[in-house]
Amino acid sequence: MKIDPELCIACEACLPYCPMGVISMKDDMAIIDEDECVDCSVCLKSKVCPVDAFVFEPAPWPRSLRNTFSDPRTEHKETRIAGRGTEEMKTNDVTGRFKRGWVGLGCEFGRPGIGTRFHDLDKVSQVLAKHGVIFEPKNPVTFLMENKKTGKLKEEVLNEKVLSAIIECMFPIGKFKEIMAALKEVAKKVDTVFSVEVINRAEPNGSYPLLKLLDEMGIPHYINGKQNVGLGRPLANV
Amino acid sequence: MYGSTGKVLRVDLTQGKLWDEALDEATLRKYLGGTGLGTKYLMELVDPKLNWSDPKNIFFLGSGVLGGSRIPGCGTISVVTKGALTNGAASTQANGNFGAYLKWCGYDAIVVQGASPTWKYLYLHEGGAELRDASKLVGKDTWETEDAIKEELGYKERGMSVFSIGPAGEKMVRFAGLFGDRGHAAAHNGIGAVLGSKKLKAFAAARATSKLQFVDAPKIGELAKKTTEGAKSFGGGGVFNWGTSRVVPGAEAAGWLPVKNYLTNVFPEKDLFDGQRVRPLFQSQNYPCYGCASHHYELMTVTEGPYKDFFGKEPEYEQWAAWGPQIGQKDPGAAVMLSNVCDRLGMDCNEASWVVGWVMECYEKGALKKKDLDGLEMTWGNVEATRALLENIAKRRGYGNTLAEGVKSAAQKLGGEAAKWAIFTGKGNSPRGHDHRGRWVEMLDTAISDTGTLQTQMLVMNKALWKMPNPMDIFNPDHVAQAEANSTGSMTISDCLVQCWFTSFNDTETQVEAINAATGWNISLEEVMKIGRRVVNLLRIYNLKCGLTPDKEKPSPRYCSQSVDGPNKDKPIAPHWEKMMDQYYKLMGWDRKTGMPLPKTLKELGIEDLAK
Repeated sequence: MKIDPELCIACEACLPYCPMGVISMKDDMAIIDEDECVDCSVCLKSKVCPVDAFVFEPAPWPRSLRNTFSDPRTEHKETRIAGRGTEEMKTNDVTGRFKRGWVGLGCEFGRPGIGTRFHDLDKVSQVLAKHGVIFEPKNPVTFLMENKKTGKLKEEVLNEKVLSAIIECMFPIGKFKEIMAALKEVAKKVDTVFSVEVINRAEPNGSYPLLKLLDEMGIPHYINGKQNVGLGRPLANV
Repeated sequence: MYGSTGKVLRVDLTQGKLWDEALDEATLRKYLGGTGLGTKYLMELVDPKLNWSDPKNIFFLGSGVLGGSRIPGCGTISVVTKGALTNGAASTQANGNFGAYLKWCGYDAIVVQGASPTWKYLYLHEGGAELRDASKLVGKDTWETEDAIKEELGYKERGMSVFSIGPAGEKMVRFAGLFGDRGHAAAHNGIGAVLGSKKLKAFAAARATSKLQFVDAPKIGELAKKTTEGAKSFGGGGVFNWGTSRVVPGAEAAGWLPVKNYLTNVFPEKDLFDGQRVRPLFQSQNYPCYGCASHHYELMTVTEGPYKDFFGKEPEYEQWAAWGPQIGQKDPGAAVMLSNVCDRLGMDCNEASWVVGWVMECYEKGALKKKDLDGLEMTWGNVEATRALLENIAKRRGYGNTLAEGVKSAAQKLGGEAAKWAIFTGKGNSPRGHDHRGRWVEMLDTAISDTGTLQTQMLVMNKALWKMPNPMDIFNPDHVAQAEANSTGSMTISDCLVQCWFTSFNDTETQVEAINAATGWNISLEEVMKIGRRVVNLLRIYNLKCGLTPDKEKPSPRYCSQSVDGPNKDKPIAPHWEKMMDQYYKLMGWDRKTGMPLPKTLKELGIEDLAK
């Protein structure tokens, strides 16, 4: 996103609207720190500028990733899903990605106010890959990997910044403890916030094997209210 | 020339001719632009004896020396013409973008004369201006006209500013206005009817590239910031953050919210109309005017009640007052709908609501019956009947044709007791959306104003500069006359610069700094204050030539009646009226019998020649 310096009148109306807080005043003009801007277009869409000074021109690869990941209206061409580009695990009733004996894991990087760069995702995905996880094919981050076996992201995307992005993968439940331990370790090298979400299929008696493992590891957890349940007929044989 | 394009666009509709006229620096310095410049053209070109609908009447639409600069509030336009309600001078303003785009297109103002044989609209763009066929636009409302013109010319959203008349203007309803940029209005004194008489449907200005030059651009930037800070803090930032509807509860508490045609001052539902409640409740969307960071105005979708999902502009305070309490109506969603219907039809919400409120009172008291009103049951708060009546007025159908002449004319035609229930002044204009029995200064202002609407009324930032009584008792007749007379010119300066009051708050000193930063004139504060007073006196001289007499400067019986309840019921203004007027005239330096500025007043203002 850019501000046309010929049009800006320094009224400061836009400053509170930037989710990343990267519009500031300099030399009697509003300027955007373009390196920190994630091209989410919130400033433009707010229509708060009284002189229409915001200019957005779709950027070439790899900067184009910023808008695709950060503007909830923009669709990822790989997955045809907008926003962070994935169905996420909460629709397992429909997608049937995770069967008994398997764990689904997601790492959500970045939030408004901080965002994330892909080098943070790269650090984590490489660690996950070492433990033999299977990356979710219908996730745009997976499309950014140069090698799904090593989890290495393409070199040119590493410095791109987005509002938020999710790594998704799955693995047999036997690997759960070692993977969680590895995540705790790599987290120390990550420059943003990320949250970890896990899913597993309930046993026929209604119990969740993961709960026991999490308790054994002393990891606090709570059942996410976003779980979409009972939305029609299960399409997947899980 | 700095701060100006140095040009006025002249349009002769009779001959379909357009030409550029040079605007020299001396003239601009004398009038600053806007209302001042328009007054000059009105006096020079329009014989006061002509009727407002005569093709020889002019329609002036202009910006001022700050127009299109970074100073907020300077996308506003001022219109000057011989108005249809008073058949005297009209000066009325609209916010939005047009003022800035007009100057970027290369003109400080447009002066339209003559009448076109067929409907036209005026299109301004980077390379000049042209008249275009508007036959397909006839019958369209003001929003539809804006959309249709943008589509025809290939502009989107704020890439073009369009101001148009609606069906009411086409039918020369006496209180039709000019509406644009999604519901901004120059609505007073029937200027829309003047455009209707000329068959000019709209003005459309493309957002061209600014070639304006200002002497001290960094200083302009600094003053822009100062102006914004002033607007942010004025009155605790209520209007800046929440719009004018923020004042509805306070207006009721102080007894100046108009309720049921002045029959009461009690409106228990006042809090429902509070901007701080309505904005978060109804879905609101930013829609700023050119160059202004204020959230004075937004677009809005109703989210509850019978008019859920209705989309339009957010009503201003005066529209909430008009389509809520004044017609005894309690649903804010319905008020949003009626505000937009009135805007789209192209009528002034003030006069329209005095008309509807009067009809409702007549209906309640049996002076008008269902059969007189084309089958409409005009009970208090009847929203759908109000909508239908507004359409009848705009299209001059049935009794609507009588009401289209304005509330004074309709009341006098009906006669009897009902004639006493209407709210107006002797000149034929009517107040803004208040109960002025709680705002004496503004009742005096409405009665003496030579613009057909608000002229002065002590709304100033620096009270000492304008010699406001301190402390001011707003119900003391002496204080009222002094406040109104002493602040003469303050609002007029804003209307000459054509700067929105909700950004400038008539901060004259900052305005003078801005004029100098824009033009390099080094003009003094005294000189600028004198320009304001000079324009007021010129408008007066013109109106006297139009047939104004001091006995017409009176509120109607209901307008100045005694409140029956509320906080002001023991504060009647009528017993003080004549004495207040005597003092006002004295302070203005006007002859009490003829209304004419006295020779020494004319001399002081340097306008002896123009009084002849």
